[in-house]
Amino acid sequence: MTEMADLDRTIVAWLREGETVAPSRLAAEIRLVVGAVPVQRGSLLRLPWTRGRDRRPRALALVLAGAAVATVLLGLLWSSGSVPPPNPSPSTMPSPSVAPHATEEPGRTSPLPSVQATAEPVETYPPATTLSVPGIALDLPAGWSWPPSGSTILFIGVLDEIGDPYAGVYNMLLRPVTSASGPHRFHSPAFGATPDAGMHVLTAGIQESTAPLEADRVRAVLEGAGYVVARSSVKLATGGAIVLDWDVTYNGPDLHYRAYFLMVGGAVRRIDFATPGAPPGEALATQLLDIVRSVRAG
Amino acid sequence: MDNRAVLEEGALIARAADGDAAAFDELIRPRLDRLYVTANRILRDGAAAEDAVQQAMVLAWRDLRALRDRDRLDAWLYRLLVRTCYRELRSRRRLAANVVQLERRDDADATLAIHERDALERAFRRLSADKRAVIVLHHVTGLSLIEIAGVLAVPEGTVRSRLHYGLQELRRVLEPGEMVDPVEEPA
Repeated sequence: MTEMADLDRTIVAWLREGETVAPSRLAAEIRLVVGAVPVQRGSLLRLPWTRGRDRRPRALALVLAGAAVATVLLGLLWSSGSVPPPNPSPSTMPSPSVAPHATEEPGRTSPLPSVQATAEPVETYPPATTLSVPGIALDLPAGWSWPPSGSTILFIGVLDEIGDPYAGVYNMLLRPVTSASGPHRFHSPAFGATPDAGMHVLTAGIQESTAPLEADRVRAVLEGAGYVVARSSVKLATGGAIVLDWDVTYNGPDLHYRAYFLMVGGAVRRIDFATPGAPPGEALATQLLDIVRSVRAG
Repeated sequence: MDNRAVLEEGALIARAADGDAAAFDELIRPRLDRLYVTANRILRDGAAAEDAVQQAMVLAWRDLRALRDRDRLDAWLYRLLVRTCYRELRSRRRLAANVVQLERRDDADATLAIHERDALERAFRRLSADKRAVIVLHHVTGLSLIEIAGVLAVPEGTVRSRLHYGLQELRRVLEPGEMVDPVEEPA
C-alpha cells in the first residue's frame, strides 16, 4: 500500500512538473481573436424550422439520422433506373406548407409542393425561384425538387441538433427523391448526373467579414463539435476560394462535406456539398468547382 | 467566493454575453493560467495547449449566452477546454507522431529520474484522452471527482473508474522490473 502511495506521489509530482502559468502572449492573442469574432450567434445560421427546438438525446438523434439517411439513399437507388421523360412546361404549385419560415421574393412562384392529395402522381418541374429565409437565400434553378418525406426534415433537424451548422443540409434537402410518396412525382436527374440540384447560396448574410475569416469561424465550430476539418484553398480565374472538408459518421452511411467560401460583390458566400461515403472524386469535384465558378461569375 | 464577488462576476458574464470584449477579458484572465496548465498537462505540448485554450475561449465567447447556470462558468470553461483537447489529440493522432526529446545527464540518480520521466511520459501518451483528462483535472487542476463528473458530463463512477485505471497504467511502468529501457545512445 505504501509502495502504491509512493508511486502515486511520483506520478503526481511528475504531472505537476513544468510551467505553472500561461505564456504572457496568450491573453493578448485571445483578446485579438475574440475582437474579430462577433458574439452574435446569427453568424452561424440555423435552419428556421429547427430554431429553438429542444435538444434531444444525441444517441437517439444519431439513430434517427441513420434511419433518415438510409431512407433517402434507398430512395435514390430505387429511383435511379426509372427516370421519367422531361416535361418542358413547369407546373405551378400552391404556397409552401412544409417550411413555414420560408419567404418568397415578390412575383415568384412558390417552389414547394402542395400536400393536397391528387388522384395520380403528377410529374412536377418546379420553376426557377429564390427561396429566402432569414440570413440566407437559395437560388433554385428550374427542375429542383423537394422530397416531401418527413425523414428528410427529420434528418435536417438532427444534423442541426448535433451541431452541424447547416452544412450540406440544403444540398441534401434539394437532392431529388422520386420514390417518396406524395401527390407529385419529382424530377430526377439522369443516372450518373451530379446530384447537386443546382444549389447556389447567394449570400450567407455575414457582414464585414472575409472568406478566410468566415471559413475559420465555421471550422472552429465544427472542430469544437469534434469534427476533424481539413482546410485548403482553390484558385479560380477571378480569385480564390477557401475549402473546408470534413466527415460525419452516423449509424448509416458516412457523409463527406465540402464547403467553399468566397467573396462575391463584397459579401461572403458559402456553397456546401455533401457526398455519401467519400470525398468527391475528380470528375465530381470538377463539376462542383464549375458551380463555384458560376457563383463567382454572378 | 463571497456574495459580492459572485454578483460582480455575474455582471461581468452578462456584459460579456452582450458582446463586451473587455468584460470577457476580465472574466477569463484570472482563469487563464489554470486553463493553460490543464491543457498543457493533458496534451503534453505547450504550443498545442495554447491553441486549445485559445480555441476554447473563442467558443466560450461565442456561446456565452448559452450558459444557463452562471455559477458553473468554471465547469463550463473546463468542459470546452477538455473537448478542444480531445479534438487536438484526435487530429494529432492522424497527422503527427510525438517525439520526446530527453535531456542528457551524467549522474546516476538523475539518469534514473530521467528514465522515470520517460517511462511516465510514454505511458501517459498511451492513455486515452478520457483518462488523461480525469487524471489531470483531479491531480493537477485540483477538481473533486464530483466536479469532474460535472465538467465531463459523465457519472461520478465513470470518473472514479477512469482515474483508477489510468493511474494503474502509469504505476505499472514505475514498478520494479517494468521500467522501460532507456533511449539507446548513438554508437
